[in-house]
Amino acid sequence: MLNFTPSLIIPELYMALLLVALFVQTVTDSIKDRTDWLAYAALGGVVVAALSMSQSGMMFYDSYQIDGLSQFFKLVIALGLAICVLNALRNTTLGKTPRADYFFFMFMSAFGLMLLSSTVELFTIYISLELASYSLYILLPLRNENPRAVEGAIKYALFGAVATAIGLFGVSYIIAGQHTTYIHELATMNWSFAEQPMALIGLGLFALAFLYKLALFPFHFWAPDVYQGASNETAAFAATLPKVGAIVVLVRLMGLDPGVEVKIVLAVFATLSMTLGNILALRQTDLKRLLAYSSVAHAGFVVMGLVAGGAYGLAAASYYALVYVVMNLTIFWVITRLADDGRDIQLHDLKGMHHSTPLLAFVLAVAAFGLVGLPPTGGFTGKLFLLNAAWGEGFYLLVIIAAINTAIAIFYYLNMVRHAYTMDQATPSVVPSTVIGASVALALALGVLYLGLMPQGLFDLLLQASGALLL
Amino acid sequence: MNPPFGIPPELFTILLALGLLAGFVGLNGLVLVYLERKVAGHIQRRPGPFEVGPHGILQPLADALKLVGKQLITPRGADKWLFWTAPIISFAPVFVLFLPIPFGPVLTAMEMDLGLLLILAFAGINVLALCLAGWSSENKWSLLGAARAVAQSVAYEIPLLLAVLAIAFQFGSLNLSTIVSGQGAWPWQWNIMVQPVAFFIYFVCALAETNRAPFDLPEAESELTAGFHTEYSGMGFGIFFLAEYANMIVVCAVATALFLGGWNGPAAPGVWWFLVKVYLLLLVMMWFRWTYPRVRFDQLLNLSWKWLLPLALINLLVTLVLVKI
Amino acid sequence: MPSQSLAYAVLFGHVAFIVVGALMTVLSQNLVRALVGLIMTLFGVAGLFFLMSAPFIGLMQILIYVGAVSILIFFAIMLTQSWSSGDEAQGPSRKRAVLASLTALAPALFLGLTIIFKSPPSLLVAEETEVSALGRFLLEPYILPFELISLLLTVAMAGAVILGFERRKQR
Repeated sequence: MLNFTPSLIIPELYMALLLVALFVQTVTDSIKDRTDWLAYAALGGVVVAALSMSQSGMMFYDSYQIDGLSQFFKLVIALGLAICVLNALRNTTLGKTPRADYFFFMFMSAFGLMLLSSTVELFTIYISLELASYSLYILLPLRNENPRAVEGAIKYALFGAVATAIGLFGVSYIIAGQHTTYIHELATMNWSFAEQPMALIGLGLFALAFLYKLALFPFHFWAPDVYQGASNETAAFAATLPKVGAIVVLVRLMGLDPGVEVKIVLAVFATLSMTLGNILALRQTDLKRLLAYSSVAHAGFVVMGLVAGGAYGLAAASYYALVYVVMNLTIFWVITRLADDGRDIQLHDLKGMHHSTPLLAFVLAVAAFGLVGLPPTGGFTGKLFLLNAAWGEGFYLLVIIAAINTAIAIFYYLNMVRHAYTMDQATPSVVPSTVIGASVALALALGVLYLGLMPQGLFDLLLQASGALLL
Repeated sequence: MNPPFGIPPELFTILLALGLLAGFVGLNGLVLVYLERKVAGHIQRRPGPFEVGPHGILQPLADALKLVGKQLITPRGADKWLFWTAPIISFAPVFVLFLPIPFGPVLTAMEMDLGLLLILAFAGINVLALCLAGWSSENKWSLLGAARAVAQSVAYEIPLLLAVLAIAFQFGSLNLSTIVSGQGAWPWQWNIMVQPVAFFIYFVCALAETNRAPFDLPEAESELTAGFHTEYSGMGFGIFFLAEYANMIVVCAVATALFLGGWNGPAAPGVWWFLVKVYLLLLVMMWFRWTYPRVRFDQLLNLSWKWLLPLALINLLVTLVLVKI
Repeated sequence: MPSQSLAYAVLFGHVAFIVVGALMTVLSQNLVRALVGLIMTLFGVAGLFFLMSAPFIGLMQILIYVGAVSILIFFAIMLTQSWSSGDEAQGPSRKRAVLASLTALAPALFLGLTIIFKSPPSLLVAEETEVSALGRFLLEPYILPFELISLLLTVAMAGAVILGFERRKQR
């Protein structure tokens, strides 16, 4: 049944409306660069997504599911998009590209991710992923003739194409084994290696396309170049939202309860990812490159929740996705404010921040504490849930390695704070501060703390949602 | 007719048809060469070929003998392997193209539901041959000709497909025989009355796809010597030539089947009506060639992307709405 | 049974054609020859669709990949400096070649062996589907991906235009 019910997909329709408006703008010369209204529009999107949190239903011949999980992730995406838009409104690195074009692709990417969070049919998932990634491939090189941006974008696009092709190849194995592409039908089937080896391998290959987006080892090599190459504003988007999209699909796939073989492979990848990401991050001086390696480590943590599985593990992974987005957006917000001319921020640029911009220095410290996973931030609570889930399922070694990694990570995250608070620059840099810049930074920092102190309401919601997935 | 040697009857039909088609294509080549030269001559107020045989009627045979007898030369620096593959790639699909064409009520080599699609799919291969020929010749004129062929064929294939699609929607079928039998014997019962815009678009695009004047830029002899086949001698050139004429017949036959009632006609048997209509269209093509000057390249592309494509889309939309009502 | 061995001969003929084309694509020093190899492969795949009683898909494969995509690739090749003096003409070093072939072979062997030894029994015998049934299939259960593809193509096209103009303005 087509079963088209517009009231269920108001967030998507709202985004589609914005996209149409942006499209009109891109082809009208006189209003090509007037994009300030998008700030309000994107915030409106958050409100709309929050209002439709409790919807549920199925559409388009059961290929589109609106449930607790999808609505939660849509809210996360809308929130992230709103912050990215606020961040990028004053983007100085666009060159001659019209602003409307830039935002058109950013919104299109977010639209693709919103679809991704609701689709429950493998081909639709694949196409939504491509919609989100194509838009991103176009966003990344848009940075004032910077060859590094182009290099990063090309690496991302070429390897991304291969990764998604492998994912599509995996779908063919799933069809050969299980004869359907609908997740709610796949959920009723057997996914053990002994019974369905082809389908399980296919599932692994399909998941690979999303692990690539998540930058899990060994598919992480694009992240440093993309982060460093793209302009700060674009990197803030590319570092956060696509990973949310990948996580929601992986949560749905792991909701199928696949055989233990896939879990073991994932556990190995997660371990290596954490360790390698953290060790490589130790010697980075470029802040975005450092964050790239830290994101590889964080990908390992998220996968830990997926490996643990069960309602608790999946809920922990989903919760960590939200925490990860908020923490990263916070630190990218600080980076973008510091780099008022769009340059790459190095570690030594942080020196003397507590004099020049005490507020930003505080926000940076909160974000760094969150990324390490120290209480009372969201990072601590998120990691606690993840470790708890993995311990409960008996992955003791994984938990121990994760704990050691957290200790390693303390060094380079707090190194940032050390630069900001204990070192001084010979000629203190002047950072222009605006009311909006300061208030959003403060709000983000409060968000990181809130997620750490009061996780229970949201986490219960997610437990319910992922429990519904496992029926 | 019973097939000998216990060959399955379907296979026998196809083999027989292929043999007949080879003869038909060869004979047509000769007739069309003669026709083209005569038409050109008369349009330019001269008699055309007149020496070999009465009214020069044996001229094409003499031409063919000359081509067959010539030495085959591979230019220095050319990619030999690709150079000689290109004419074969150009000619091989021709046989496939003729298979689903309904020459008469029962005179179809291979009755298939996807006949129209088969023709469209294999007709696209010709441009590949032009590219390979132009590239492997290691000659700037050839390469320019190939570059033009690519841009031109990509541009004109889309409106052509959209025009044909309108007819397919109207009949709900891709089978040429079904489409033909849906039309009547008299001109006002033909599809051209219902779909004049589609016919116009189809015919213009067909001219461009077969590289006929005024869209003969890939071989534009006054600028590029002979375009993509500059370097081919003897039968290398001859095969390209034959393939071009065969393609002309195919596009005219498809136009006849889709728009001009196919083998439908009063009194005479169908196959004669079909051939008459095809040859009338071929004459129109020749008439165009000697009437219109060659377009410039930007004009060529603008015509397709800015006029024919939107027109074809609108035509398709209107057809869709009318079919649904 | 002779008809069965004939069927195997036809199948492996196709497979050989595809593999030869693929090897030519990868190993050829000349971009245009590599493209010819690619076209061989695509043609062979179209043939496989015919063997599986899916002529519509096979014809679409020829129409789209042989008739359009490879032509566009050809156009792109003509925009590169791929002649004998270009970068592409230099062969890879031996070490790289060995590593690359190992990298390619490992997953191919793994996946291939899975298919050979672990493939589940097929449920259906190939039979020709009507085009109208195929259309209904695309527009009913798979309507969402089908419509999203058009959006995807729009994005790809608009993006190509933007990036293309970006480069042009810089000159």
